[in-house]
Amino acid sequence: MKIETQFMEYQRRYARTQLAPDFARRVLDDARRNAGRAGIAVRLRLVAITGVLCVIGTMSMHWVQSAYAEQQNVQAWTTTAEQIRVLEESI
Amino acid sequence: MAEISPEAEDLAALIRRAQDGSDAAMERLIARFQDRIAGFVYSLIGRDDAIEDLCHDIFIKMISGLSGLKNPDAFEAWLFRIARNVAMDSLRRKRLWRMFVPFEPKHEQIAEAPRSGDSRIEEFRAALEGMPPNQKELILLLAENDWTYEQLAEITKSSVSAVKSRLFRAREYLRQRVADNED
Repeated sequence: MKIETQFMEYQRRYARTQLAPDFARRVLDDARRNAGRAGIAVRLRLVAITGVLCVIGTMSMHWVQSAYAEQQNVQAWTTTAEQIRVLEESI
Repeated sequence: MAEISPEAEDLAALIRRAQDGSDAAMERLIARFQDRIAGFVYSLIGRDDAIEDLCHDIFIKMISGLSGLKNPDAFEAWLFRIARNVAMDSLRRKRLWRMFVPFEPKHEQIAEAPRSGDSRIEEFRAALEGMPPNQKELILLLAENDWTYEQLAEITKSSVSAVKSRLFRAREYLRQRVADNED
């Protein structure tokens, strides 16, 4: 047998003694617990992202509506000013 | 068509059952590889006080990533890649920690792992200890399994040519060290 293989077998035998007898079961239980925690974290992240998207959406709608109203107002005032100018000239 | 050995076929079936969510299959999969992974991690980091924690992290990563593994034949290389990354990260963290924490005698007071009593094994261990980690990992991986150069490159996240040259240097180093000790 090659020395590398012998060395590895020795290392494996020793390392095995450092693991708990129910190591596999423990890892599995921890993984399930972590998955539950990760699920909550994912849900919280989704709620946060939805909240941010709602705020961005509301602000965008507000900006678009304000811009439209301003444009309408400017147009109405321009028409009124023109009418006043024509009226003043006729007097 | 190439024949699949019963062991390999069994492993593929076990992996598929674990991917389908069977806890029993997952537990058997961990139990099947835990000794090899523990031996590999122990050889790579050279200390026995972190074996269980690192193995724990490795298998947690395995469980969370297993559903994304498309080809069960690639499982072993994939698992050893996780093990190698976790062990290397631990070595890097330790090196970083040493840079910021002043060294004190109490930091050396870790019980040394028992020696094998076989002079050839101890000679090999001493030679490995003086080797750069990126060469040492290749020697250890090849002692674990007959990986191809391509698989070694994938596990160690490097190119095939880099693997070949590192392996050549590592073997030269080992040959030299063993020859020096025999003189």
